[in-house]
Amino acid sequence: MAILSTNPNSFSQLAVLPPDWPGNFWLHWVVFTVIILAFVLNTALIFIWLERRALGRFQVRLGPNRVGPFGLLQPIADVLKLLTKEDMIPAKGDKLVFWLAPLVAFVPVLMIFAVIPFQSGALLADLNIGILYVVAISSVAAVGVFMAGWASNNKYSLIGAMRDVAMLISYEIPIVLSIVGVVLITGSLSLTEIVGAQRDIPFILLQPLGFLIFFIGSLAESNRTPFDLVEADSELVAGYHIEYSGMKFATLFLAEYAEVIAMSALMTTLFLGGWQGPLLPPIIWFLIKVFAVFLFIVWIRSTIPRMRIDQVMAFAWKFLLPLALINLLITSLQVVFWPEASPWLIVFLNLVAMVVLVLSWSRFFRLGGERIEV
Amino acid sequence: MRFEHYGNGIAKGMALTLKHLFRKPITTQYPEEKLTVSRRIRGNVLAWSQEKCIGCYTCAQSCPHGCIDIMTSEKGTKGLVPAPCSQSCPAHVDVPRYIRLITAGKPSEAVAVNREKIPFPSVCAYICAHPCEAACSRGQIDEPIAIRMLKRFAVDNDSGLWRKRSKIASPSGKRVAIIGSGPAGLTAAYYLTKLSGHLVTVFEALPEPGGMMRVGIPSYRLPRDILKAEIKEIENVGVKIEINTKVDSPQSLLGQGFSAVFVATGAHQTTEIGVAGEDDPRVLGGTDFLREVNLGKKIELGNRVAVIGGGNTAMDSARTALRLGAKEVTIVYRRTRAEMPASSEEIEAATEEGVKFLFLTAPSQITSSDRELELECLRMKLGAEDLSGRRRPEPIAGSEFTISLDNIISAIGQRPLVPASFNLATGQGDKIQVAPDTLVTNNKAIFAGGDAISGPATVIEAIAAGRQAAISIDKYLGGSGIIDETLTPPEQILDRLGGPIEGWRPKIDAIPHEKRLSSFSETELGWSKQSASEETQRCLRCDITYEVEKYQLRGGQCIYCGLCVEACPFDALFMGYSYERASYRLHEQLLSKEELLLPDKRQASGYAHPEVEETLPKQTLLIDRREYFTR
Amino acid sequence: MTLKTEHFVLNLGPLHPSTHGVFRLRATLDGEVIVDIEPVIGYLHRGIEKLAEGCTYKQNIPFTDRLDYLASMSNNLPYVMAVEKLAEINVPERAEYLRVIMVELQRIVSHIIAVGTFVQDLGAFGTPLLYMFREREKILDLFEMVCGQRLTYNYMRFGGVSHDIPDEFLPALAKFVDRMPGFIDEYDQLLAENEILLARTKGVGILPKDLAINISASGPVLRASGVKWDIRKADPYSVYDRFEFDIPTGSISDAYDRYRVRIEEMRQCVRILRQAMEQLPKGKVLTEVPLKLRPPAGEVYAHIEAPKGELGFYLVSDNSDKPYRFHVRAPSLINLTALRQMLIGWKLADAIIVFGSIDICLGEVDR
Repeated sequence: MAILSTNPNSFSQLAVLPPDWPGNFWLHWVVFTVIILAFVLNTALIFIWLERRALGRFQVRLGPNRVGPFGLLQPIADVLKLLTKEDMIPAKGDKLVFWLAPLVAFVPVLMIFAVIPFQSGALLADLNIGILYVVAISSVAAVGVFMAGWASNNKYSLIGAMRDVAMLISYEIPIVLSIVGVVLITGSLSLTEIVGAQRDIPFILLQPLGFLIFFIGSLAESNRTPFDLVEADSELVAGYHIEYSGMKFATLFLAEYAEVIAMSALMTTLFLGGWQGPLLPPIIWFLIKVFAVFLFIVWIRSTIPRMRIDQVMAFAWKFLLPLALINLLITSLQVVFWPEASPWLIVFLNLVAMVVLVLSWSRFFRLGGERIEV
Repeated sequence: MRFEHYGNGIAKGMALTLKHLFRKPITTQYPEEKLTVSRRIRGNVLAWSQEKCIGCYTCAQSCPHGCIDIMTSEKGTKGLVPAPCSQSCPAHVDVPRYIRLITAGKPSEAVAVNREKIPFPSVCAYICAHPCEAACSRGQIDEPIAIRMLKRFAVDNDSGLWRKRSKIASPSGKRVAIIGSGPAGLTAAYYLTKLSGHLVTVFEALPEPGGMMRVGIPSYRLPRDILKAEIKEIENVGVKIEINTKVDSPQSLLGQGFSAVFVATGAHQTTEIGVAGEDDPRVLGGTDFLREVNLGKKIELGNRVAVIGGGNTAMDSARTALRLGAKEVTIVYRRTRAEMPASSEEIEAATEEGVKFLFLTAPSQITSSDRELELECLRMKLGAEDLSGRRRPEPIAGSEFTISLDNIISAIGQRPLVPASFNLATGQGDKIQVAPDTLVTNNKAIFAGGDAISGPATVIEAIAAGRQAAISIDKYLGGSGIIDETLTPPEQILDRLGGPIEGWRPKIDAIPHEKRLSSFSETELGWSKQSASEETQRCLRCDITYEVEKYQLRGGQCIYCGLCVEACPFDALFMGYSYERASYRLHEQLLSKEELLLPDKRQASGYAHPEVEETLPKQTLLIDRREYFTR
Repeated sequence: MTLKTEHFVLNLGPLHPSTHGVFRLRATLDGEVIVDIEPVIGYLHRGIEKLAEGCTYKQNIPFTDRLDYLASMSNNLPYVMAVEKLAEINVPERAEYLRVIMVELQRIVSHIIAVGTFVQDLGAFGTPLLYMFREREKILDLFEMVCGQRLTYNYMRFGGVSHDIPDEFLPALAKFVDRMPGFIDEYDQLLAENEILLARTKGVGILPKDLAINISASGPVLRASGVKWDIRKADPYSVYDRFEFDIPTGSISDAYDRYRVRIEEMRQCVRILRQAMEQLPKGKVLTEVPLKLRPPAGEVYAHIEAPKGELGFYLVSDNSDKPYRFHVRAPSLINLTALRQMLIGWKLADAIIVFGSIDICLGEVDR
């Protein structure tokens, strides 16, 4: 299978790993699957702790501080609590689907990490269609969410699931269009090569508008504020996972955090230069960037309220989509007609273009709908 | 909705949250860290002091949820404590005790209890200003016990039992002169003669003994035969009263063989209003007017009379004027009814009899013509509080109005009139200056007391002053100064005498007011045995401390409103100081109680499990205060 | 093209995070759009009005705490005012000022909770609410200082207040009053121009002026509809005629206006507090009144501008020590009556914020 050419030594001239990276194909599979699982689970725990602590400090309070030093063991205590809770299935729910949903939600998110390079060559599979794979696989998580919402036989969870699907479909498009800009500049779909292309200038500078769109889109994709209307505790109580408890709830919860980690990692890879950085080892740089992106998301969460479903939709279709298209147009023009231009000039041009576009689009963009005559 | 601010608003918000990220976090303190708890905290725990509690049920009655259960023993007390009523009485009459004796159906014994402290029980029964009722604990619940009316019931049903037990001391041979036969003078005379054995002569300038009781108080309030009988009792113990004798100077009395002199001349001089036109003969002084009337002189009054002032003298003058034939009597007072110093019963009686009131009005000028008097008045408003705690009236400019009148009685106050020949140091308001403890004037053989040193006051205060004077004169003359006597055997067993019952005062009968105005006969009628007994049952018996066997607060129902603590007249209930400390303590208690249980019945909290609650010793949220604070 | 849709019924509550108690909105939805909505109340009915007829006048004061439990001080006041009117009890000047101080502090507390939970309903994860609770905590400390309780104060008495303020109260209050305007500015910085908040609340849940008057709405809900009606000015009680303050009003009568009116009212509260602190006279704070008060027979209605609107107590006395009739004119209940008109045609998410912008307290609605 050509697309699954997984020989770690075969692909990258940027490889920092020694050529005698242990093992063969299958050992590599096993080792990296374990690494990814461990990474996702541990980072999720740390993220949960970090989010609660940071949110606490944003809100002038301490956050969890009683379990372990600085409350570090709080997520573990929470997990233990969740695992020992009674596992309930709604009597009139679809039991099989209800049981499957957390898995369907969690596995695709986990699969995204297969192509994310932690450092040069340190990844499960350097697919040459890496980013396409990510886009394709990350949408599957929505199926899990919808299954959860449907199988619970609860009106709140159904509304939450419907919202998730509607939102995901809408935001997938601007996200993909903004990625296309990056791909155009790099000329490759492989994530390793995308990182490699950012050796001098990270794409956040070359593609500022693209980054903005991708960032907003990934907030929506991972159901973070201001697009957390899937769970919307003040409206839908808990949204699609309202009926879940115990281990299944933990899995859904984990899927959500894994998605955030995935999106942070993708943003790091696509726009922030991936593992690259001076002085520190590459894996540290990668983690620093992932955590920085995550903290920014937490900061946003601590500040702004939630949008309404029609506003969220309008935002995607009326604001992000046109801007993404224009961004794509500008990038293609630059790539096709002006490939030799100094990158700093392009950075300047794109920044100006972003400011002008965002401001002017804001002028005639109307958020939200008026009252509907019934 | 447009994106008017281009995300500026969100950016501002995010800047603020970022700023807060670096602020010191605010956190709820854990119980052991929380030190700044208000001392008024109405915490989880009520402390209840068994020593102070008398089981009066006031707390139980004030609780909105009825979650306080009290069980008191039927018999036996922890002892007697001074009750608020007897403490507030200037003469310290043992009020609760005589109320108990009335309950037990022994009114004569009740009079004897009174006689131990005052020589005028009947007079007090009619006209006492009863500070005891103001202090009564029951007053905090609904209405104070009608102590004066109960005394009235006792004296009405007195058989004279006290006389059998009273003893007269052997003569000491010393002579004491008393100037003035008012309540202070006669009280001193009575005790000096009866208990110290001195020879006492009372000098009275007026033709009738009794002082203000005789000439200041109209006979419809204090019938003359009652007063005469009381004075007769005093004369019976050997006091000599010389009427129509005006003393020129106490010093001269010392020269006539008297070893000590007690000046109790009272306060009979009417204070002037201080407005122009006051010297018209149709403007009368309140005390002068009452004195003339009470001594039987005829006074012609016109149809329209105004009384200026708000004290008891003003009320008496107004009601007397009505009885003398005045058609329209108006009381002009510069404050409002709430600030009137007259007793509320008097005000009510005056209102019933048809006296009109003009509040917030002060006279500014009196103009006289041949036919009538014109009283010009000013409207007032109440300003800030003055030293006496009443709000000071302030005139409203331009609010003058005039009333046409036939007579004006000015009763805004009295002051003592001490002749210069007495050679006694006087102070503010012509009051004689004395040492407050001993009542000695600037001459060590001359004592003074009553209204002459205090300004106008009540009969019971004058009696107290008389007692005080008797003590210090006796001491001066070499006696022991003990003027207490025992006329009733001490109480042996203090059973619960029934009650306290709920309810209000029984109605006090009075003669209909159409009949009142035609005569000077007494208006207020006494109580029947039934009413009196009912009223005594309302008494909380504050002085008896019953052993409270069980005081329980159903913790689940308590809403910590604090009304029981507020209502307790004896401060026997306290709210826990610290909520958290109190909760800990409660928790500890529960746990320690659970240890008494079989292992299979234990659980973390004793509340949830109904059967556990049954097997536990009855839980109580009430903690002994001392135990609580010594921890 | 129209899709064929089917209506379905969603029960919001009685157990729902945004119903501020146990309130139930029976919403008929077409997708996300509300076709019909029916408020169902009564889950917190405790029969306080009937209960009060069996208790003496004084015993009823703690019950009034439990009507609008977020503004207990404001609930005490009209009740004691009604009884004072009935029994002709004088209130010392100092007590009147203390009452005004407490009620204005209570208004800040109530508005803080109203705005905080309103923004919480919008989905701002706790931050504005927690900033506001920081100040609420300070006020609750002040209350605790005065009466020893933090939620159900039971502070007012017939003829005054139960305790005089402790010595440390006035300095603490002065400090608070000095700092509060800064805190209100912070809320404004965080929320007032926030685009998402504007998008969610502007033009949402409009309560037209005439409808507001017709349903006899009161308080910030009425003022946000542009009616300048405040009982503190319209029928001054206590010593309110001695203070200078403005009545903020709205113009569009939407949820945003209701939020703005509350914020501005907090500023006015601070103004009143400043003046009250300056004018606070010395003297006693309580007129002695017997425990079992027996007011003369008659009826009385006393009302105040409570944080949520006109709160009135109607009492009928038959000259016994218990009220013959005890009725509460609860602003929360009456402001709620226009909910249906305000919500039809809006989205499910709007139902929550419009409901939140009315600011009700179920303890008062159901009684």
